[in-house]
Amino acid sequence: MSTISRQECHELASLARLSLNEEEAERFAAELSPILAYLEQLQAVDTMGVEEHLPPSRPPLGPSGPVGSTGAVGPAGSSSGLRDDVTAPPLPRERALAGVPEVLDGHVKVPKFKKD
Amino acid sequence: MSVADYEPVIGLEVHCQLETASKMFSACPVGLLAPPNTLVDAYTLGLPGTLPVPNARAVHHGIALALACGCQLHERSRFARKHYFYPDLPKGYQITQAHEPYATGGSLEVPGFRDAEGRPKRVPLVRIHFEEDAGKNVHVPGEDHSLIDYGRAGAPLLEIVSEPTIGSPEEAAAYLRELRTLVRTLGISQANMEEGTLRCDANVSVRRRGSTALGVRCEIKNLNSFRFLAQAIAAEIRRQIDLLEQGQVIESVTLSYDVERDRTRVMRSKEDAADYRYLPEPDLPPLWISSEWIDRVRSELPPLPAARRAGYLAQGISEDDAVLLASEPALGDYLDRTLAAGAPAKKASNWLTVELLGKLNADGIGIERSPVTPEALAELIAMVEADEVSGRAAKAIFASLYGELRESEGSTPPLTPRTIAERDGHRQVSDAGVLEAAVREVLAGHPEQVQQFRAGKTKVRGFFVGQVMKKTRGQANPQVLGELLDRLLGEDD
Amino acid sequence: MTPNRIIELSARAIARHVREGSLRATEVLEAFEARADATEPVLHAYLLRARDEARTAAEAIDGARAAGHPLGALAGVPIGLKDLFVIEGMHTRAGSRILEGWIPPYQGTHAARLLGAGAVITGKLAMDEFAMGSSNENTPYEPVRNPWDPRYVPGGSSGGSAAAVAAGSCAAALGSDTGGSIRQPASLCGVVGLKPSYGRVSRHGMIAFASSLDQAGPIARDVRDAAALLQVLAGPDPLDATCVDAPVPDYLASCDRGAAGLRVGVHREALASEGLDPEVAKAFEHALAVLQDAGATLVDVELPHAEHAIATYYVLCTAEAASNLARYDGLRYGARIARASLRETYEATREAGFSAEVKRRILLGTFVLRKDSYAAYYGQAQKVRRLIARDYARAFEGCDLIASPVSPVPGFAVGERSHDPLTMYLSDVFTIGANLAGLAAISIPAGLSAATSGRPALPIGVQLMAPALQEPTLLAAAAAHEDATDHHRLRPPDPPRSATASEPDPGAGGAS
Repeated sequence: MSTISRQECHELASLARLSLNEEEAERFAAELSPILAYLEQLQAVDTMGVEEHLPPSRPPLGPSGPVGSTGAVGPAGSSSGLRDDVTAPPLPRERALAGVPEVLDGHVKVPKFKKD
Repeated sequence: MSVADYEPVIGLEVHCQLETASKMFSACPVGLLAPPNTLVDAYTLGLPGTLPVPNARAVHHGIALALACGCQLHERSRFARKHYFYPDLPKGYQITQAHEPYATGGSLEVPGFRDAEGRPKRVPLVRIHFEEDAGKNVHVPGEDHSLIDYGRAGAPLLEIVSEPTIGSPEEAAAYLRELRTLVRTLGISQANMEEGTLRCDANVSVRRRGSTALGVRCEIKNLNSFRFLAQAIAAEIRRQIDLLEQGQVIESVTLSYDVERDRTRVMRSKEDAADYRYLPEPDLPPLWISSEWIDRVRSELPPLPAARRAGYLAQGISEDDAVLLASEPALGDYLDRTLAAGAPAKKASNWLTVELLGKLNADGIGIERSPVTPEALAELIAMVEADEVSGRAAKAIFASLYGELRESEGSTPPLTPRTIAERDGHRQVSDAGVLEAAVREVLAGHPEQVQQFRAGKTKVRGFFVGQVMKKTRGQANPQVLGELLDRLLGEDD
Repeated sequence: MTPNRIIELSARAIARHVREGSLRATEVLEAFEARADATEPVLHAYLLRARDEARTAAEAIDGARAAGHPLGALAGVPIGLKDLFVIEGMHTRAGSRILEGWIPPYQGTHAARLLGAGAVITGKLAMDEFAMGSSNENTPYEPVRNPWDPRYVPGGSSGGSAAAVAAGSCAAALGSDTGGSIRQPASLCGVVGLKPSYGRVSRHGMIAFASSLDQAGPIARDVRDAAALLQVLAGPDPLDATCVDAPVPDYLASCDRGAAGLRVGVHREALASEGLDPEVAKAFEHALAVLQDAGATLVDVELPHAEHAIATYYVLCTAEAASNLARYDGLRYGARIARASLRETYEATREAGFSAEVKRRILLGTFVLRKDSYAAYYGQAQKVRRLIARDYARAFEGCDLIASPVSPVPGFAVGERSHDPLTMYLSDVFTIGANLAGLAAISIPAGLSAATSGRPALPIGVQLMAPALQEPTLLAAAAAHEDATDHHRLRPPDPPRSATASEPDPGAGGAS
């Protein structure tokens, strides 16, 4: 049965950019362990040869199929879910940046960083 | 052991920005030189509630490249989210194709390189897939902050991943050049390294010559010119061989190239590489590419560089010229039009690479804006072939044609090689009757030299040629003239 | 018409009156606002009341009518939107501190379509943070109370939407449903909650919780109002690639088709579970009898993988949530807790911005997506999901609809379950199947539980499910049930009881 340690909670939190104090790590470890144990029932389900679920989509209907609803480039046969390469006006910068916590010279300002 | 005991194994990951009006997943316009954060919309900024909708033209472009490389195109492919936290990544994940790319396999021919059997070298591809670009980070030296421009975020990219079968830094550069040529020929990307529409990472390992096992590979990031690509790989090969020679092990690391010191520098260890937590993109249905769509794109493909090169070689064009002429679609198109107008291949290629490109390069003009059309060039070549003009005259005609057309920018009445030849009297005289009169006149006017010739001083023959040429203002057909001279000098008085 | 009469009108009746000129949109708005003024201090259904915007919209409707312009299907109808729907220019937070201060610079599809039909948006309705919860207690704000008894939760996550409609502080509302978040609060508040088929309504402008499960839908006082809203909301959207490109039928017309001849499937095995409250079981059997009286027949169905639905659901929804919530980093919008380094800024912002339940799900979702656990968890869950969907497809070969309870219990008191996430998750047992399989589903009022010493009389809902895009069948049966009963006419006490006077003691059962 899987349990989750405090250390693992810290690692997961680090991956997800959450910082947990010891108390939180302890609590989440205690809460997540029974949940993980419950989720483990899935391993027992026989899914041999079963494909993963896919979002609804319309496969192409073959050479005589209808033109894609988007009328996309190379349209005949392109599936639904695509759009034509047509532009819409971008957001004016003052509106795009209106909700940004810190702005400098038209840029989004963030604490200095290097690739980590 | 020495350096010669090792061989490098190189694979390239190339990112190529696709030429579209709008971004990969939203209708936001794409542009290169816009002020910061002006080419952004709600999706680009990763605003809550926005969703991606793929750009059909980007997919079209992807199909074209996959066809050109002979990849297997998959009817169904899927997008996935690749997670990492980084300020230039607005959603905390990048939409890419992970486990189900739209194209796998295929290969790219590397001109000028040969495989072990001596055939033109082909580098096999692992895959090509779609993804969206990230924004740009501006690091301000000395400041405690960085600045982000999301204008580039969401731009449509293809990532082209080669198998690790490239054998040298030079071959890597040639591979990248060929890829650039190909996407430009297809018209799917500007593929400009300076502007960042073509970017390259290189995986490098070394192994003992003769070994088939791959060594530990290291990745050099962000190689932004052909020269630096080759230099960086060479430097990395040196670094790895040095380590091995010192009896050390190579660790898998990510490096950058320090141009100043011509060496690679470790950025981070692969050990602490992020777990990207790939997730099939739930906001997007699978991407379906029908055989009909593929057929349509195939039918619209332009002549491809490799096929062009092969065709040129078969027509007797030198390998260097063939590579050069197939390297730019406009050059190949120019040559093809010249050939279509009837010019013999080798001649056309010489005229194009030596005369025309010489002038265009000197003037800083692209072939597509050449004052001399392929048809005019073909006409000029045909005139030489038909002995209508001499080779020398042809060069003069070409110079006039180029210069005058460039001056007038096409505003004067049509100038052709023939009209110039007529106007400037460049037409070659091949009529033996006409020339004979001139030769006789020259011989008659220079009895002393005739004497010298007959006394065995055959060098004087050149003097007679020059005199006749002078008399005919250079229009005498040298061959006919030569025959006449020989005959008339051989006659007794 | 008196304000009290006005708030009793259906959304359809309001629109008709406004179109015909017998009521002004401003007059309608004032009646609902007066009601909200009275109920909000107790219920807290609204996170934001958009009084100015609503008034401007209502005046525009009246002006348009005076100018002789044609009015839309929802002309003058006051509608509240769950806080995760983006409305351009209106503070939108998805119930989370991390979006504090965010004013969307773009318009969501739902708001655009509702406004286009003449609706008057009354404000943003409270919810569990990022729609994660079944009680409205997962909130940094004031939790919503159940209008039937403020000591009880309204359900969740669309608790504000259900409570507002039940209390009459808007004529109808928009909710979102990822695992039952429209249907369960509708059930607990005694109103109608419709979760359309996946892809029937756009998700553009709906802040994502779990993208492959989320679906927007109406909460209304009767089935035909829900149908009228769906009519406006449904249909393809070029801004959502998963939105289904299928024609939109006349949903109101299908409400009049009746239930005669419909085969209603019942999964008896699920009803045998020990957690099912007898009052819920009784109401459910009664609803089946009503449907039979209306000409429907009952058949038993098998859903062999149903027992794995909750585990499947929680793997998928936490993984997708962890992914969808990665964008909340405090750099581009919302609240930033500035720190010296980037990493500390990320962590401080997310630490302060997310509640414990959201963090719990992010941690779980991060766990199931890790390289070494993906195949066993997320990948496996997507496969089991396909098996579950196949079970439903097979079941629907023998029936037109499947009926079930919505919530295993009529309701629970504030604080009663908030300490036990797993128990809370298990209460979604009847609703998540429709999300996993992309089905259409509706919760309709089925009467009140009997008041006992430990629990007041609370509404109970019954769920009907139909195959994807079979909303017409769903609405036909739901309307037939409604036409034969008066449950939807029951109203909570007015004015609402005070919640603070008598906080229930969960251990003692809540009576006081």
